[in-house]
Formats: sequence, C-alpha cells, structure tokens
Amino acid sequence: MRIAESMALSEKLRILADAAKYDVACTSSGVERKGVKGAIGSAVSAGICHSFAADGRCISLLKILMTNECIFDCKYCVNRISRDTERATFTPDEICTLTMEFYKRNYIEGLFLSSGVLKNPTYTMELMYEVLYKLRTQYHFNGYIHVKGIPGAAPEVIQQIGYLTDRMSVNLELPTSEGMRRLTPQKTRKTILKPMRQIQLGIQNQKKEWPVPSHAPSFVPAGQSTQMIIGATPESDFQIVSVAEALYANYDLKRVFYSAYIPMVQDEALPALPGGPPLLREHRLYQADWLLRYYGFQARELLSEERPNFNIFLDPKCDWAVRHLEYFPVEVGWASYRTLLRVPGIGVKSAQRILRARKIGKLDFPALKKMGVVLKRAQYFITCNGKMMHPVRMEENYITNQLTYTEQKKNWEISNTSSYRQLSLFDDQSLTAEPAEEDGWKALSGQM
Amino acid sequence: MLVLLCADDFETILCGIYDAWCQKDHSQVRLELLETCQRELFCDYREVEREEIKAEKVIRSVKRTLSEEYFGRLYQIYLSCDPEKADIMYRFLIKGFAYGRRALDMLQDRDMARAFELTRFVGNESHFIVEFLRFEKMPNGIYAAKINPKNHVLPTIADHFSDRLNPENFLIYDENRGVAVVHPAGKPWFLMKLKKEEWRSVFQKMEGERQGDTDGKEDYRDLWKLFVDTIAVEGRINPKLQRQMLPYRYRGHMPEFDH
Repeated sequence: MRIAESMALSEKLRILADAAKYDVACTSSGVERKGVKGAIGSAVSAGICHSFAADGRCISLLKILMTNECIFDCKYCVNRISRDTERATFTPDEICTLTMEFYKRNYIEGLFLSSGVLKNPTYTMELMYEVLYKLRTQYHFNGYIHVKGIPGAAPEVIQQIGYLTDRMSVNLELPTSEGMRRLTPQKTRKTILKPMRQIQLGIQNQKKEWPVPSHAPSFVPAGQSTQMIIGATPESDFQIVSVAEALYANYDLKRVFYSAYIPMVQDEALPALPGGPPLLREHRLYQADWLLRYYGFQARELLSEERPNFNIFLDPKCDWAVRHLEYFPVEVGWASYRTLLRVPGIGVKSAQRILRARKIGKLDFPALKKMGVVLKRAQYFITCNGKMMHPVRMEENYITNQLTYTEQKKNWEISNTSSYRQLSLFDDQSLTAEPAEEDGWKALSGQM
Repeated sequence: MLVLLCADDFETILCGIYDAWCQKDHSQVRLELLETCQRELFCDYREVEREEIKAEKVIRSVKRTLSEEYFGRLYQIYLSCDPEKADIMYRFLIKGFAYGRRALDMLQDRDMARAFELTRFVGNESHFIVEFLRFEKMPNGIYAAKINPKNHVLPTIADHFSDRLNPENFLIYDENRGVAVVHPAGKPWFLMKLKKEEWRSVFQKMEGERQGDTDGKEDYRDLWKLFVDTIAVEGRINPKLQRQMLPYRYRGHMPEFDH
C-alpha cells in the first residue's frame, strides 16, 4: 500500500516508530560529552533512560526508521517487500525538528535512526548521512546519536557517518550463517561482518592517522553494538553465547543485544510459538552476557556441548556456583576481587565496597547487607570472620533446592508476563519434583 | 544530654557542628532540626545562632584535612529529607576527623553506613529526576518543569541541565519546597525561593498567555504520547516491570501518563 507524500507528521511517526520498535538497542551510553556554547545537548557516559514503555523497556532515544520502504525480503521482518503494509518516509527536516523539540523537553536523550533499504544500501545510507549532517550543523544538536549501519553500503558513506554519530550498530540478525541462509536471502554473514570490521579499525586508527592526535575528530566514540534474534532458528544457548564472546573478543563490540523472537509475520520457514516469545531464555542470555563482560567468565565455563542450554530454574551465576562447590565457601575478609565477583549475590559495586571496607575494619553480615550484597543468594557461598551466616550443608542438591525455591516465582513471572494464575490451596510452585530440563525447554519454545 | 537546635540551612547546621565540637564528650551532645524536634525530658535545649565565620571554619577544615569529596558528601547529606540529617552530618565529621578521608569506605560503621544511606538516596533520586523531569514550552518561550522530590535535589541536577540546554531559558520548580532553579540563556543558574502562592501566580501568568493562542496545548506533547504508546511491543506488555523501573510517584508531571 502506498500513501501520498503529504501525510500528517503524527501519522508518519506512528508508522515509523511502530516499524522500529522491534529493534532492541535503546541505550545512550558510552560517551561523555560536555555541552557546547550555543548548541543544544550533551552526553553522559552511563546513559540516561527517559521513560519506560508499557512493555517495561527503556525509552532513551527517539527510535524511528527514516523510511519503512524496503527492497529486502527478510522472512521475519514487518517491513519486508512482500508484505502489504502502510509505507511512509520522513523528510530530513521532520526528523531534525522532532529530535530537537523532544530533546529540549527532556523526553529523549537523542536520536536512534534506522531505515528500510531504499533503492540500495549505499543510497539509503547517504540519505541518513544527510539527516545527521543537517542535525549536527544546521540544528546544532550535540546530543547522542545512534545510527544503524546497513550491510552492503559503500565504505565511504559508513566512514562519513562515523564522524557524525556516537554509536553505530550493524545487526547480526541471526546467530549462525546457516540460519541466515534460510531467513535473510539478501544478507550474508560476510556483508554484515565487513562494515563491523571497518568500524572497528576506524575506531582503532582514528588517532594515529591525524597529524595532531588530540585534535582528531571522534569516530563512533560510543563504539558499536549488534543484535541477534533468539528463537527463530534452532541454535543452542551455547552457540549463541560463543558467538557473542567471539564478537567481544574480535570486533571490540560494546554490547550484543538479544531479542526474543516474536512472530509478527507468518511464513513456513518460521517457527510458531504458541507459548509466547522466549522471554526467560532472553533473560538468561543477558545475564550470561553480563558475566562475560564484567565478571571474568568464559562461555566454556557456563555451558558446554553436553550442557548446551541454560538452566531455566537458576540464573547462570548460581548455576555455575552450585556445580563448583569446591571453590566455596569463600572468606569475604581476604578473598580476591575476582573470587568475590564469582559469588552469587555479590556484584561489581558491592565487591569493590567490600574491598575498601575490609582494609579499615572487620565485616559482619548486617554490614554486607548494607553494602548491597544479596544475602539470600550469597549466604550459601561465603563466610564472614570464618563463620557462615547459618549452618549450611555444602551439597549441590540442598543448595540448588534452597535457591530455586526463592527464584521460582520470579522466573515464572518473566515467562508469563501478562497471564493470570489460578489460586490454589497447595503451593505447587515450591514442589520439589521438578520437570526435567528438556520439558521446560519444550514448554518454553511451544512444543509442549 | 545537650541538644543543639538548628534551622534547616547548611551554614546553620555547620555552626551547630562547630558548637557541638566545643563540648568534651561527643556522646553527650546531639543536633536536631528546629522544625522536626520532639522535646524530651532531662535534655538541655539550645538554639544555634548562625555565624558565617564558624561555618567557614568548618568548611575550610573539612576541605583541607579531609577532601573536596568528603565535603561534597557532607553537602549531599544536608540535601537529604531525613529529619535526623543534622546529627548524621555531625557524626559523619566525627568519624572523618578520627579516621581520615578513608572513613568514607567504612560502611561497617553504623554512623558511616547511615550517612551512606542518605547520600545514596539523594543520588538515586537526583538521577530519577534527571531522567523523568519534563519541560513544557511556555508561550513566552521559557521551558518550565515542575518536580516533587522527597530530597532537595535541585542543586545536584542544575548543572546537568544548564550545561545541556545552555542557549535556552528554563525553570525547574520544586513544588514541595517552593524553590526553583532559574537559568537565563547563556548565563549561570541560580536558586529562587518564593511563597507557594506567588509561584502559582507566576505559572498562571505564563499559562494565561497561552489562552489567546489558537493551538491550545502544544502538539509535541501529543506526538510524544503517540510515540510512547507505539513503541511498546504487544507480546511483551509488562506493567510490573514498568512500575519497577518508573515508580508511580515520578509520573505526576509526565505527559505520557496523563490520560
């Protein structure tokens, strides 16, 4: 369906925000930039969320497509060429005014600009460049910009856009090239990795190639990120986490985002998910991702070929800890930082606080609690002044039961967000006879 | 027990700390705020008088002997809404002068943990306000926002906004305290305190000019509401998570929750 050029701004916003909402990344982090006299905007390295939508996801940036017209035919996508849907295109000025007006009212932290592919990838990215150029120079916008890199675009235009944007992301779409062959006929692993490598090298070399390095214009200062869809193709968690690990190691990515597959279009190549999108699985992947980036874990420690999927009852860190009780309990009074980070219930902040506080005096359990340690989980794995909080049998089954009992309600809520539960006289959530792990997976992926 | 009563302003509390320090035994003296004090038997109550010179002495010795950071934390405790904050500031300095600047890390100590609690609350709430504050463009071109925080967060958030929106005139009004940050375009910000009725007439005057306009409420509000409603994914609707991330008490002045 084609619609006349003279569509109202609100109508365009509705169509193009709706088409952009399945993109996960909405962070505004990674760059610290002070305001400039006469210009609007600054950036904060931790990022700022400005609102939360009804699905509980953060709204930090004005996330829109420039156009939802697209020549590609990716099977899972709402904007695929073969789908009959309303199409609209923003003019550069419309995008700029919306961004500026929203920004001045503190609605947003900046712009997230993505686009369907118009004519060809290079042409599309040239149009996006025009928008950013206008926004930065004519409208004097100094806030955060995240732009999508379109695979197959010419390196020159990617280079140019890199100097105007803060973050660039090229979507990996699916975790393996096998999956891509089936679902994204026009994109291949190679065309996706090429711009990623170019951005990586651009960031690494920006200072070297400039005569006065400190005056070099910043190239993608907030780094690059990517995202992949989980559950549309049959990869295991182990494969996915390994791909993420390789991306962090080889492409210096700042973030990898995972999005639970939501069936929006019908196609025989796509799975049906009667049980809803695999939200718990997505949640576990994010937890594991955190462990890779900040806690010094490796994919091989969390999963293996024999155990390719995460435990649905325990988070990956607890799961690792109960399988490695030989390392525990650790004494908070002298355990190293790396060891403390491996304790469930102790995070980066609380580990640092413990390290500083114990230099000055003894610690006790109430003090740990005040520092932000989650004793509900940590109590099975730590001693304080040589004593555990309660006498605990260091036995895998016993601890697993204790931990799953407290976690179960939360997990259930994640995978059943909007349904209700029958009241019951018998609290079957704490039943000890649990279904086998495979059953859980089948239930999650809708086969059972 | 000697109880020193201070008015709720930074300098007076510092004078109270100065006076308390002159007592021999720290455990036999306590600071309380004039407004919230509940009088007890067997206590000797004395009102603290504000003297610039005493406050300056305290500030100087904190900055010199401890650190700028320590002073920053002290000020942050003052911004807290806790009725016991004056005494917490006092104990915070006792520990500081006893152990040096590393006292900041002594979270196992009761007094320091209490101070940490207060500064964390002030810090967290400031961050929420930076996220969820909403400006509205008044017909005279001024961007105005109303907030109602528990702590006195204006001094901590003003720099962020004046840096970011330096070419604009804006005003952030704290309804609970009758204080506002005022930022004239391109100039430094300042705090302004008026009576609540006076603020009401200020806003009425600004709003009143809009009546003449044909547009009524501005369009960008509606566009923003439309955007927020559109961006949620139907398959993932989760009000509980939304509430966890964005508690009800911040939603009062947010256009997207104005139905």
